[in-house]
Amino acid sequence: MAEDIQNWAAKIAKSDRTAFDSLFRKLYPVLVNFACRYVRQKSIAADIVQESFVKLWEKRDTLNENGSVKAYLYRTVRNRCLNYKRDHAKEIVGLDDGLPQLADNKTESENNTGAELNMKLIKRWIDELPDRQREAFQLSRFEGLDHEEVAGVMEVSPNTVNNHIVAALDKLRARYNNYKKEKKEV
Amino acid sequence: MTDYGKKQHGSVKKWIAEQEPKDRKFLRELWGEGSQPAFQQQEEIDITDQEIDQALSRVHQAIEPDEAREDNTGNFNVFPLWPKLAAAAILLIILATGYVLYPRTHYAPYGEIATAELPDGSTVQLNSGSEISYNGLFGTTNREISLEGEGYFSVRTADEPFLVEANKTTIEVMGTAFNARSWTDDPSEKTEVAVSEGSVSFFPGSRRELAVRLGEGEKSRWSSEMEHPVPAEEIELEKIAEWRDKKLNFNNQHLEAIFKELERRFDVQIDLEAESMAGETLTAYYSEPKSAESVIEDICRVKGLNYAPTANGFRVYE
Repeated sequence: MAEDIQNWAAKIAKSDRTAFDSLFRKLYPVLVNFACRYVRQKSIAADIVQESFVKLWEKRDTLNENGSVKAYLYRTVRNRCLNYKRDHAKEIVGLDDGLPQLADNKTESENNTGAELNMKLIKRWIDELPDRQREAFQLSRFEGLDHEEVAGVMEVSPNTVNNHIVAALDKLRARYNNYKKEKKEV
Repeated sequence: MTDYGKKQHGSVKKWIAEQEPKDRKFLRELWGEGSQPAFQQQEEIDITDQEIDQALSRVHQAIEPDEAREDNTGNFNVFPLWPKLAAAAILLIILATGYVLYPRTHYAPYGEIATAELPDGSTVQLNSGSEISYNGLFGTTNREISLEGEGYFSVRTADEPFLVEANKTTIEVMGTAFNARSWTDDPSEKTEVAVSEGSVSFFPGSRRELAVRLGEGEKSRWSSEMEHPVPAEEIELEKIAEWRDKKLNFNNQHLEAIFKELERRFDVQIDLEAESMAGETLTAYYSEPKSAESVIEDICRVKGLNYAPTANGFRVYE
């Protein structure tokens, strides 16, 4: 998959529309999901991702061969999401557009303390991490970017990314130990 | 994954190994010890193919607003002389060709599957409610046929190309077997083609330069907002035209389209009185659907809807 994407990137730089369409089909769903974690509304996330692809096309001649097009897209989407959040800070109140409600319902029963270790619980721990650590961690683990790419998205050095992720892991380890202790007491 | 230095890495590994077995899987994923990146493809929000198509078409429009409009200013030669004579000649031609061009049609009624044999020896199996039509010259000077609905074509090899026109798309065939699905009442106006033998060429309208070539076990689709059909995708041979064995297979389809399919298959009327649900999608498979009611019952249970029988079918409500 990674080769596919770099392959398409090279073709897009040469104005190949078919490669652009293929890249779009591959990454659109994951990027909308990614954007939703910031803006919490599917329709806004979709707009942001579409604009980001338009921008990618407009800047296609500056795509360099070594840089990751994936990191470029994630960076553009992330920046636009952060801008959107900044501009609409007072308007964002909660879920809309039928966002992950379905997923929520499914795991509701397992959501109590003392429950089994599961994705839902882990995701909640991750949500409670400090912003930068959470972002680095999610980009690495949820989006499958490598540290170089995460660094490109967050516009920091790979070293900083590593520090964020290690700090996040330390916190998660503490949460897990805590959870085990609580479970024993129940 | 290289989040930790080598030394720490070892201690993390040891720590994970000390935990309860059922927790280890999660911990390994979190710490990047798993065989692949954790949680990838953990998408919470479903994006349908149709949504992707629409989004892509919006992007296309943003990229090149001018190209969206087709250049239709070809030179058209108006015949300026002897208009009366010309009119008479045209009338004659119309009368002479009227008979041969009068369309022949085959239709499969609701609740039934029909087989049509064509003048060139090809056959078409028609799904319930589907229709094909062609003119009197079919099999002599042309092999052009139009399709509304869904049909499985087994095409005789011949010099004349076999052309299926379906909802603003064209499928060009040499000698092959394939399924074409193209309902004008489908909200997405989608045409889908899947090939089980030989190969076809599939393109919108008469724009052959946008053609996608489909071989055995490949499928593609086109809908009105797309520029060209999607590139060939793989499909298992036995999944092609399952309707011929009375199976039902809904792959991420809109409820509206699913109910239309049930109407045709079982010859019932289904009124969807929950407008907010029309855009909902569903994936389901039935190898032997017993009745429309059994399928509707399942859909209602999954989507939190209710249904009740009516004089000639069912109503589905919130």
